[in-house]
This record gives sequence, structure tokens and C-alpha cells, in this order.
Amino acid sequence: MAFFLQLAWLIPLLPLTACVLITFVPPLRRNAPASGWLAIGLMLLASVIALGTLAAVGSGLQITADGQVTNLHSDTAHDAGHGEAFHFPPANLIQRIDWAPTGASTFQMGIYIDGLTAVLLAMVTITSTCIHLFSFGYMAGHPRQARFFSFIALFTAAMLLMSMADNLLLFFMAWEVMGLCSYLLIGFLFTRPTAYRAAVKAFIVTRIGDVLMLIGMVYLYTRTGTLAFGTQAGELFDTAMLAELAATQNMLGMSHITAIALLIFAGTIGKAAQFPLHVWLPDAMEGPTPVSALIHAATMVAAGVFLVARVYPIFTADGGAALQVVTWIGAFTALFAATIAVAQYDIKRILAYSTLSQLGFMVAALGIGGFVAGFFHLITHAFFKALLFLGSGSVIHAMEHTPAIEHIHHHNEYAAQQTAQDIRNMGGLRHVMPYTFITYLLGALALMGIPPLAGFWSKDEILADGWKYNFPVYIILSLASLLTAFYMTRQVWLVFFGEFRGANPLAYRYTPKPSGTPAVAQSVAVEQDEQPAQIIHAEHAHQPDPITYDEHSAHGHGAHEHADHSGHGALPHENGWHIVAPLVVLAFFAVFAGALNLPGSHWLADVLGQAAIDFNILVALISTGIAGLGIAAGWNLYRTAYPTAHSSDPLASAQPGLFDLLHHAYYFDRLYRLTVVTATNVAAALWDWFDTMILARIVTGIGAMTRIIGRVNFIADDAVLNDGPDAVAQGSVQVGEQVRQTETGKAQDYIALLFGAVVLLALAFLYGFR
Amino acid sequence: MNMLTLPPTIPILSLIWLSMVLPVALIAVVPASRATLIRVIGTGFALLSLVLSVLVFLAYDQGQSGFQFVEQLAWIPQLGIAYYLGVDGITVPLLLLNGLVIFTGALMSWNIAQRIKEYWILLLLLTAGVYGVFVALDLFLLFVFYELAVLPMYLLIGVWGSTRREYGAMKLTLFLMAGSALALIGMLAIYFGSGLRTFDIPRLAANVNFEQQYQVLFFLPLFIGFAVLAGMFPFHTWSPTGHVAAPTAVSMLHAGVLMKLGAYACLRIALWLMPHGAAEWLPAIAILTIFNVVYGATIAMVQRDAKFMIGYSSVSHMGLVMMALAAGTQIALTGAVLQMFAHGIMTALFFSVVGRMVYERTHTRQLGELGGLGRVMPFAAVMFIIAGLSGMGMPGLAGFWAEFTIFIGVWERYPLLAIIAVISIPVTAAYVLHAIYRVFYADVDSPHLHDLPPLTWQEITGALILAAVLIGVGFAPGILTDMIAAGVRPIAQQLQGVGW
Repeated sequence: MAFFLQLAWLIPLLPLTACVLITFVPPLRRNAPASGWLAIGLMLLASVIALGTLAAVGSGLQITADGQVTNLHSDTAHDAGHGEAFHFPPANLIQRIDWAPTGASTFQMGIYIDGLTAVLLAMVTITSTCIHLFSFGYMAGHPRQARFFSFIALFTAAMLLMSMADNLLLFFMAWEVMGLCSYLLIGFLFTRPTAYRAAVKAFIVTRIGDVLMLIGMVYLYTRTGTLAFGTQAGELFDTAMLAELAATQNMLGMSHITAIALLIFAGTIGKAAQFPLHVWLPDAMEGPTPVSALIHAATMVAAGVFLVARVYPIFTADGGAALQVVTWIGAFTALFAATIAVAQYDIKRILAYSTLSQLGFMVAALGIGGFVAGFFHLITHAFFKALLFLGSGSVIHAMEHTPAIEHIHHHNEYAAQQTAQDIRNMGGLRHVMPYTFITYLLGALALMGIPPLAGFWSKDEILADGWKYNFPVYIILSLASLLTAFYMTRQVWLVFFGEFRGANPLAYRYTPKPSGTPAVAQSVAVEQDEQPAQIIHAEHAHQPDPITYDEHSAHGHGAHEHADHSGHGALPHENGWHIVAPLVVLAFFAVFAGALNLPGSHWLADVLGQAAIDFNILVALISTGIAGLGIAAGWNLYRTAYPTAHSSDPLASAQPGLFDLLHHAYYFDRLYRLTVVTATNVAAALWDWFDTMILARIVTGIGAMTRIIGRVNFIADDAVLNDGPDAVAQGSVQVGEQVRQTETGKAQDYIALLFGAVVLLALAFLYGFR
Repeated sequence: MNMLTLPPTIPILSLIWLSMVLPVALIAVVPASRATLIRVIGTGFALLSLVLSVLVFLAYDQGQSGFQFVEQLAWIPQLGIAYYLGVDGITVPLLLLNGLVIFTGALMSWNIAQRIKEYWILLLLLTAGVYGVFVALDLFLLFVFYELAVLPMYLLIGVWGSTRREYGAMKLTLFLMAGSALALIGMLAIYFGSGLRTFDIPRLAANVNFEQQYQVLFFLPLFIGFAVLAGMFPFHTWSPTGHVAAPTAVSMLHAGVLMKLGAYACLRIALWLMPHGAAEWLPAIAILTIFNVVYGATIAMVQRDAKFMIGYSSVSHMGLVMMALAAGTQIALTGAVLQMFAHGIMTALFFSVVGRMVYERTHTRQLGELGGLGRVMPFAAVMFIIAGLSGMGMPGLAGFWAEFTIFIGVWERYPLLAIIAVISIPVTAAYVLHAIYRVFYADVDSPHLHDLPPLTWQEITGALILAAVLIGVGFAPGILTDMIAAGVRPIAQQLQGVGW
């Protein structure tokens, strides 16, 4: 198994190879199936190596710097960590090469594999392989499908490289490449303005976090002179050095290490979409569904959480001040996002807010010291959230091929997609899409935390940590769990149960933005979120336009007659195996991934080199009860709520104001648009005005003044200096003949003349600028 | 440590700048009707100068400190003026930069049809001046080359330029002349103040502890004089108008190399030869550069003309160079030189795409009128995106290393300024992505986009070279940074020596 560990460097290289080949080999680029199979094949290979690496790491194999294979489990170092507190485990493999980018000191780059990395690698490769296969079916027929494969391969490669980076700089580089990939993929359907805007928004918002993280790295580097992971002297997690940084204070009265940890955490807030930089993630589902799965499960957001786990010693060094912030940001996001998810109609948007909420769980867990629990939840959540997104993709794909939506598609592709994603237009799909239904249900139950599915074990561990270390956080997270069970029940019920409502759908209309608005307004538009279709969305929720839909319903009902026989009728139908197979694989993990860290075995805690928390049966019972309560409430409320797609939501009827607030995600997008974006644009416009009107005027003024001075000088020159010296010059010509004898004299003369003239000119300008 | 050895008898540095003067003579005797011949001569010699620069790069011994390939001839010994050339770790990358930009710039100049002889003569003379500045080790000689590089600009913009060319050319010339005048005052002050009566830069650098008050007094005109050419706030306004008005190759040279002359002279002359003055003034200068960085980036965001956007992005990126100079540590200075290189290549690529590929075909640079160009010219779109990504500091491209190194270096000295300066990063991302979207992807049915002629091989070759360099340095920054770090070490030590 050491063999796999030795090959670990290949893991990110394989998807990267796929990306490079697809991009630069034209026959491959033109052949979408071939490029797809290439990417899938290389991902499979990467998965095999990753699993082998995990097995090697799990059995404690270590490859030392001189290439010897030893076993960590026989070391005493391994057992030293079995206290309650976090303990940074030794690496299983470190390979470094000289890189030297900063010049002052030799900078090394390389790979670093320990339990944390190995588990993440396995998760990322498995989910990403499933997503690749899914894309094969889902994106079939898209003119740029090959390029799509190259992008998701690059995205995966960056994530894998980041997982095994041996220093924060390489980590950050891969992290940034991921930001770029998210931009390319969210905006993949760039002909839709909303997609492009969402892509820019994702990039810019995460970049705000990245920039703060960059500051943190620079701060850290100037304090320590290193960014390398490891506990040796001269590496980042050297305890003595961290203690020293924790003991000294910066000018804000904060210890250096707290400030650094918080700046680095800003990177997590951006990438893992925590409050207040959460606004990009829900819009990110403008990308094709496999991209959503990739972003929400395997890559971006996982990267954000992984960052905290990777540099955890930096967070723990100051005795908990930085972790307090981490805890409360996480806990707040968990509840905040869960409330928003309750009031969404878009199947993917519900999942997106659910991701935000679950990320809050993970971040809060890391904050309260539940290192293993937070990471455990990251892994299990990745499996079931990828499953749910791909499942929703399967549903949408099927919905798009119903006649009513195809009819809308003739008019506008974007409106058709919005219509296809609205859960009010679904219903009863369990009969026609059995595989999707079963797998989706398993994913949803795992998300709700129903035993014995994966989500139960990891979420329960977080709650047990909360119970033990921070009771208020426990309460908040329990409330979020209740809401999770509620909104997922609402979603599953409306999608899969009841009768199909899509024959007479609640249709969207798309009005393009008026063109020709000035540049300032357009740059506002780039960052704004309130998509046109969404506004109409809200309007339609309350006043559907019957005239427009009569035609649709007639069409839909007409087709419905043949539905049972042809399979191409009004009802959606199950998708091909490319789409179903990944669902089944992910469902397997959604059910069984909990086995990683079952009470009693604690395999994951061992691999991570940490002590396992005791199983708390009381917490488990309470959380199961809470999930049950949420399900019951959801079922009770939505069982009969939607006889047709045009019915109104029972919550909206009961609390229209609150529902509207939640539906619009507390209007955070509008708030940011009115404050940050407007302020930036106003400042930019003001400065532009200052530059062209004031500075340029000053310049022109100086020019004019110089001309006036020049005219005055000319008059003086002509009258006094010219006519007078002309006479003198006559005389001096003869003198000049003599002077010419000595060459130096002449050169000095010229230079003195030149210099004198320039000095005068310079003084004039100096005076002018004053 | 050098990859090849040149025979010591070859005066290679003289050959480099002469390789730009020789074709001037050749072109002068070729009749103007032989347009292709003139272009071939110009491009061929540009390639020759690039090859010579590459040779210097490969033959430069990194293990050895100090100046190499030194040529020294007495010129006006009575005044302490000599023909003294040599290169170190700072100037070797800059020579390479100039070679790359003039060669690709020459490739982008094949469409110039009006007064073709004069155009090429001026373009080559300008480049000769730039090469001269980078290799000169005599203050006087350096200044002569400096003026040679700046003067042809007026005619190049005034005659072959586009938008408001007379205004742009005049504004640029006035500013640069004023800057030269100021710088000359400072240089004379060194000449007289040091008491050595020599223009020999290494000798002056070895004797910098002349009267402090004097240095404090004259550092400012010296630094500001050169900083005008680097586009430092508030003396930057000539730069965007000049960039916009200039023909493509001149924009490339101008933003790509000429602005670096200013920064280079600030580093080589002001910081090195007047360290006491520098220690007094650098904090104030650092504050001015913040305006460049943030203010330039935000103004770029609201531009509707793509060239103006690039012009202001140059103000912002050169601001980072100046900020690093104002930080004055070894890491910061390394970052500054690397950023000169990275920005030079990036902006040359930007102007190739916008000025040459896009504008010459569509006759508009308005961001709002160019939507959908990505479908018509996918190659141009990819090149623009590569340049943009480098500009916004994407890892894997040269700009990332430059910016990262600068931020580390600036942080050592001014943490607060570093924090303010990073605001420019998301703003840069915003305007670059905005421009990419508006120009290449927005779905506008524009009459400008119908029946565009295909790209020529010159355009494709030039752009590919520049993009390859951005990516190459992005992946292996060590090929430049080791050299640069060794080159800036004496200057950083000089500053350290005076208590900076």
C-alpha cells in the first residue's frame, strides 16, 4: 500500500492531464464523448490511487524523507495525541522541491499527506468521478460539452492539489485557481446574462475573502518567515513559535496569531459562503447542475472548511479567541440559511441554502473544538449533497422534456429552465422516476439526520460536541436541524408525492434588461443579484396570468392523454444510466459513510490522530426526535397544500411579510447593492471626474501659464536679450575662435548652457506645480 | 551558474542598442514604396535585439554579484563622463522585457501604411534609447538615452495616433519633459554633492554618505522627475490619454517598457545614490502610491473605452511598483522589478488584443459596442483573458508572483498600506471580468462585428509569445526572481545602511 502513497502526487495530475489534453488536442476537443470518457477514466484512476493512499494512511504507513517506509502506529508519537485537546498529527508523506519565488529565502513547494488530506482526497475523487459520469449524460448534446469536461477536470485538479499542498502559498494558488474555475463554470451558459452575473458575483465575493486571506498570509509570512505546514522548527505549526505569536500583540491590541487566524478565516467565509459573504452561493446554481454539485459538495465550499482544519493549530494557538468568532459565524449561518431555505421554490435554491446551513454546522463544530466532528460532517455532507444536487439535476432534466416546458422553451430557454426548477410545478415524480426518487429520498433523510444514515452520525457528533462545550450553540444548531427536516420534507413532498402539476405549470417570463444604460449602471448590474426572472417569480406567485396559461394547459392536457403509452407524454420520465448510476453510487455513500466514525470504532478520529468523543445517547435521541418533528410538521403542512401549481404556499398565506423576507433571503443582495456596490461605483465615478476635470484642468492651466510666460519671455528676449547680445555676439565670435582651441572649454560651455536652460525650465515647472 | 558563455571580446551590450540604430540607417535608404522590405528590416532587427537580450540572459552569471558584460570607454574624461555599460540582475530581465515587447510590437506594426519609413525609424530609435537606459552605467549617458527614448513619442503619437492624438501627444510630452528637467536637477545635485565630479554610477553608489540635508533637499526632484514617467499620482494623467492616443505598437512600448524606465531610474539612481534622501521621503511617497493603486483601479472600473481601462490599470499596476520601491526592502524591490516585467508583458498583450486585433477591425473600443466578439474572434478572447488573469494576480501567471512578493515586501514596512492596497485586487478582478464580458461575451448584435478579416500570422505569433512568457514566468518565477533578488540586494543594503 505504500506503493499508492508513493503515487499520491499523481492524483491531482490525472485530472489536470485530462484538462490539458482536452484543451489542446483539437480532435479530442471536437469529440465530446471521447473527451468525456478520457476525463472519467482518469478520474477513476485518481480515485483508485486516492483510496489506496487512504488505506495506506489508515494503516499508519509513513514514507520518510529518505524514502524509508515506516509505520506510525508503532510510534509512541501516535498515542501522545489521545487527550481531549487538538493535537497535530505527523505527516505520512512530505515531498518538496525548491521553488524560490521570493528571492530572499528559498521557498519550497511540495505535497503533504496526512490523515486529513487522505480522507479528503478519497471523498473528492469519488464524488467528482460521479459528477463527471453524470455530466456525460446531463450535458449530452451541448455544443461545448468537451470544454465543460476540461473545466470540471481542472476544478477537481485544483481541489486535489489544494488538499495536498504542503504550504499555505501553494494552497492559496490552488484555491485561487478554483475560484477561477467556479467563475468559468457558473458562467458556462454565458449567453444567459443571469449566469454571467452570477459567475462574476461568485468570483468577486469570494475574492473579497481571498484578499483578506492573502493579507493574513503576508502577515504570517512576515512574522514567521515560513508558510510550510509541519511542526518542525521553521515550519508553521511549531508550537514555540505559535506561542510567541500568541504572546505578542499588534497595534490593535489583538495578539498577532488571533489577527492572522481571523484574516485567514475570512478566506473560509468567502469560499465556504459563511455570513456575511454568503450571497454568492445561492446564485452559483446558475451553472449547470453538475457544477452545483461540484461546488456545493466536492470542491469550493469543502475547501473553505478544509482551510480551517488544515491550519487548525493557528486557530487554537491563542486560547480560543479566534475560535469564538469561528463558532458564532458558523452557528449563525447554520440557522440563518435554514430559515431562508424554508421559503424557496426553486429546487436547487433550497439545496443551496441548505448547503450554507450545513457549512455553518461544520464551521461551528471546528469553532467549538469539534475538529473530528466538523471534518466528519464535511465528508458525509459532500456525499449526500452531491447526491441531492445530481438528483435535482435528474429531476430538472426530466422536467425540461415535458411538453409544457418544451413549449416555453420555444420562446425562451431561460424561462423554461426557471419553470422546470420550480417545485410547485412538480409532484408525483416517485412513480415515473423511481431510481431518482429512492436515491433522492435517501440523500434527504441523510441530510435531515435520520439514523442510521451518514448525516445522522456526523451531525450527531457535532451536536454532542456542542452539548459538551457550548450549550447555546447546541440550541442554535438544534433549531437549524429542525428547520432542515422541515424544508427537506416540504421539498421532497412537493417534488415526489401527490399528483404531477407540471401539465399546467406556473410559468416564468423573461424580460431582458434594457440595453444602452451607461457604464456605471452596468457595473452595478454586474454585481447585482435580483435577477429579472426572480422578480417575476415573486409576482407570479400571487397573480398567475390565466390567459397565458390556457394555451399551455390545453397543450399539456392534450399530451397527457398519450402519456401512459408513449413515454414522451406530459409526465417526465426516468433518465439514462449515465445519470442514474452516479446517483446510486452516491446513495451508497450517503447511507454508509457514517461507518467511517461509528461510536466504538472511531476509525476517522484515529486516522486524523485525534481522540474520539464519547457517543451521547441522549443527544442522539433528542436530535432524532427533532428531525421527526420537522418531518411531521412539513408533512402536515404540505400534504394537501398544492393541488395545482398555482396554489399559494401555506406559510406565505399565514405570514406573508415574513415569508417574503425569507424568500428574498433577508434582502441581503439588495442591501449590498445599495451600500457596497453603490459606494464603490460612486467613488469610482467621483475619482474619474476628479481625474479628468480637476487634474487635467490643472495640467492644461499650467500649459497655458507656461505659454504666457513664454510670450513674456519672448518679448523680453527679443527686445533686450536678443538685440543687445547680437552686437555682443559679433564680438564674441572672435573670442570663440580662441576658445575653440581648448576642447574642454567648449564642451563645458555647451553643457553649462544646456544645464542652465533645463534648470530654469525645471524651476518654472516646480513653481507651477506648487 | 550561467547557461552559456559569450566570448569576452564581443561588446554585446553595445550591439544590443546598436542593433536598433543600424536598421534606422538601412530604412533611411530604402524607398518608402518598398513597404514590406521596411517592415522585414524593422522586425528582423527587433528579433535580433531580442535574441541578443536572450543571449545576455542566458550568459549572465547568477552566481556572481555586481555588473557583468562591462564596457568602459573614456568619453569626456574632464567632466567624468564615460561610455560605461554593464548589466546586473535588475537590468537583465528588463532587457529581456524590452526585447520581447519591441519584437511583438514590430509584429503588430505591419498594418501601419502611412509614412511608413518615418514610423519605423522613430520606433526603432525609441527602442534604442530604452535599451541604452537599461545598459548605461554612466548617469550622463543614461540621461542621453532617456531623452532619446522619450522624444520620439511625441511624433509617434501625434502623427500615427488615433483618439485626440495631438492633445495626448502634447500632454505626454509636457509631462515627460518636466519630469526630465526635475530629474536632471537631481542628477546634477548628485554630481556636485558627492564631490566626486563623476557620472560613474557604481562609483557614486560607493560614496553616498555626502551631506544629508543636501540629499533630503534634492532627492525629491530626482525621484519625482523619474516617477512622472512611471505614472505616479498625481502626475499620471498623461498616461491614459497617451496610451489611448498612441498607435498599438507605441502603446505597447509605452506602457510595457517606457513607464518602466521611470521606475527603473527611481530605483537605480534615486534610491541607490541618495539613500539619505530616500529614507526621509519614502514614507510620503508610499502614501501617494496608494492613490495610484486603489484610485487607478477604481477609475479603470468606470471606463467605457477599453484602452482607457487598460491605461488606468497601468496606473494601478505601476503604482504597485512604486509602492514597492517606497518600501525599499529587498523583497519589495524584488517584487517591484518582477512586477515591471510582468506588467510590461501583460499590458503589451492587452494592447495587442484591444488596439490591434479588435480596434483595427471593428473601429470601436467602446466596451458596450463589442459584445459577442468571443464568437467571432475566440483567439483574441483567450489572449485577453490570459492578460486579464495575470493582471488580477491569478496563480500560474506572472502577475501573481509579482503582486504576492510586493505585498510581502510592503507589509514589512507599511502593513496598513498593504491592507489598503489589496482593495485593488477585487476591484481589478471586477473591471477585468466586466471588460471580458462586455467585449467578448455579452450578446449584442453589433454592426461592428460583421465580416471581420481573420487574424494575421503576425498578430497570432506576437500574442502567443507574450502569453507564453506570462505563463512560463507564472509557473517558474525562479528563473527571474533569483536574478532580480541578487540585483536589488546592493540597493536594499544601501538603504539599510542609512538606517532605513
